[in-house]
Amino acid sequence: MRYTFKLADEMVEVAPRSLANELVLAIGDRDCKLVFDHDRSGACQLSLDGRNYQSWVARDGDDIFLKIEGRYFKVTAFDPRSLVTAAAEGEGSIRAPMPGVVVEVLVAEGDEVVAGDKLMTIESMKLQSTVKAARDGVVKRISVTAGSEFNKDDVLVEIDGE
Amino acid sequence: MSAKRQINKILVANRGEIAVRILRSIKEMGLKSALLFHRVEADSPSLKMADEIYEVTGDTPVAAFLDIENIVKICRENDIDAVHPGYGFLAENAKFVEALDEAGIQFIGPRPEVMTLMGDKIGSRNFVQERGFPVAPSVLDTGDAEQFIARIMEIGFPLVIKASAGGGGKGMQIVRDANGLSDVVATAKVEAQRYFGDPRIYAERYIENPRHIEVQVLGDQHGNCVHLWERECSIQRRFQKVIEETPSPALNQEQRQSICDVAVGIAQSVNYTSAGTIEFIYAPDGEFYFLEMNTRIQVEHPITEMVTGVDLVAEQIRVAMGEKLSVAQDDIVQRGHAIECRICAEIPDDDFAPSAGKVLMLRPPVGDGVRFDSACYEGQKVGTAFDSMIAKLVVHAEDRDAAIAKCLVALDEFVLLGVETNADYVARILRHQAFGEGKTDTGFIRHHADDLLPLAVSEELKTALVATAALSDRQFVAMMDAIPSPYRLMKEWRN
Repeated sequence: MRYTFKLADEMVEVAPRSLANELVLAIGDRDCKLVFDHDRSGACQLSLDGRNYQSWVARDGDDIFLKIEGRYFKVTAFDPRSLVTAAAEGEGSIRAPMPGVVVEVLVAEGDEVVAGDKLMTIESMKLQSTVKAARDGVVKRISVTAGSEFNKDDVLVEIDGE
Repeated sequence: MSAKRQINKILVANRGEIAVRILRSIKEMGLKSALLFHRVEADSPSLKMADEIYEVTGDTPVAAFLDIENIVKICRENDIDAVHPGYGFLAENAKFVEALDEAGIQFIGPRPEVMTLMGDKIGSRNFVQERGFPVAPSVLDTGDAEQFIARIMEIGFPLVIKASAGGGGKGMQIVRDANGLSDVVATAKVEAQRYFGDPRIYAERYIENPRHIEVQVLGDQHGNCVHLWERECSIQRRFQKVIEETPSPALNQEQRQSICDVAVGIAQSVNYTSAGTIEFIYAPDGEFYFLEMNTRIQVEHPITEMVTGVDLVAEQIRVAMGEKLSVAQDDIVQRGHAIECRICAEIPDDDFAPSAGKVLMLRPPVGDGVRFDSACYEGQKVGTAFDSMIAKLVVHAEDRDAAIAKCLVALDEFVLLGVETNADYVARILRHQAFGEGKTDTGFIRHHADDLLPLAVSEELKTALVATAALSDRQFVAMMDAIPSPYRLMKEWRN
């Protein structure tokens, strides 16, 4: 499984490679051997390629705030399972949270739906997830079909709330 | 007029770090304290420092602290003898002082007539000039354009033409030579009329790359008036000070003495009776000119306290009680060097836009010679209801180089997560070669803008911080922990 972390405008994928004797994470396109330690105060120590990085870390939901090497950063975590419903909440237009492919469309244009109804199954980063209606309404337009590829922020489905 | 006056309970009519600062002195003097608060800051631990707290309300949180009638009523109903206004809000509002006077409540600050006189830019300047103190050479337009231009030529170039009724840089025109001067004057009059409804203009010598140097003064009701040396506040962005220091690296001892003597002379000429600051424009050629007087305790007062050891707020309170200053001029020496950095919730790399958020982690810097004035706390929601300054980091060391080094170490120790601040940015200023050499003027931030940009994040650092973020992310760690042991070598592992 992969997770995505957003740093400024850049998306970086992280996936575990080895958790056995040593910790190896694939970060972007690099496999990194890591030693990581932290205490309750939020002080962290990371060893990466033999170099040590001291940092301070605090989280607020998906936002991770860090001070590292005297500089401040914010990194946002994206759990692929929670992406679609989060993005869809309260919206009439449901946009793709990241690039992917449509597995199956479960409704047709003109269908009446209530909040929580399953609209389609998509796959992003090797992970399937369900796109659900965020509110009651009528399916106004479906912009994709099974097998369609889509980019981040593409509109997948529009629901008319009237 | 020097009657002793009993003060038992002081209201701090302010908030944030300066309220905390004033409460400390009140408590140290064994007096009772009261504090105003607005409900947006009802959770602030600083409220617990006061013996009594009183909620103020208004159309906006700021308006609540400007409600003279309500604040006087709070004083009347709760046996409050005196009010310390801090800075900002009602600190330089003569009407507030008069309203307190009428109610028999002592204002901790100067007399209202002095506040009115020195609070008027043109009026204070004329007053100071008439008494023989230096102001930038200037000529008032009396209506006769030809005569005005002839007198302008005597000032010399560059000069600046300003609207008499103007302010904040509007309607200002810098003139570098006599070419087309009569057109510039005519246009300036038209613009002054259009912007301010008043066609009067004046010309003043324009000082390029000046330093901002100010002198702290203290006066009492017994005729004593002293200076506590200077502060240099040239590092500014949008007319807001960012870093202040004392002593100024620009002055030799003779120049220092001369500017401080002028400041005391000005304060004495208005019989000044509290803590105040005389601000000067300091030209690269060593000339200096009166700019204005601030009749309040200032944000940057701690650097003066660090080098002189005088508690300025306590002196203000003593003076308000009718006591004599506790220090004489000869006792006030500058010992070592102090620097203050204003820590603001803002994004310097986005044109200093204000930032907001929740303070998730706060680790104030500590140690010998380190002072951290703040009302900030973990869990605090930083918004835009009030000023963006959330803390002041002040350091004191034996000389300027040592103070810069100490300040950088303190900034490194300081941690504030959850709200973006300028902490990183002020460290970049302190590390800049020109700052280290004392080459500071009010254009510093503009001139060195490119040098003050953040360094690019190296691929290595990027990897380290994404790794740290991932391994600190509960869901990512839970995901790793959930991987069954047979798959813990995951070259082939897939969900």
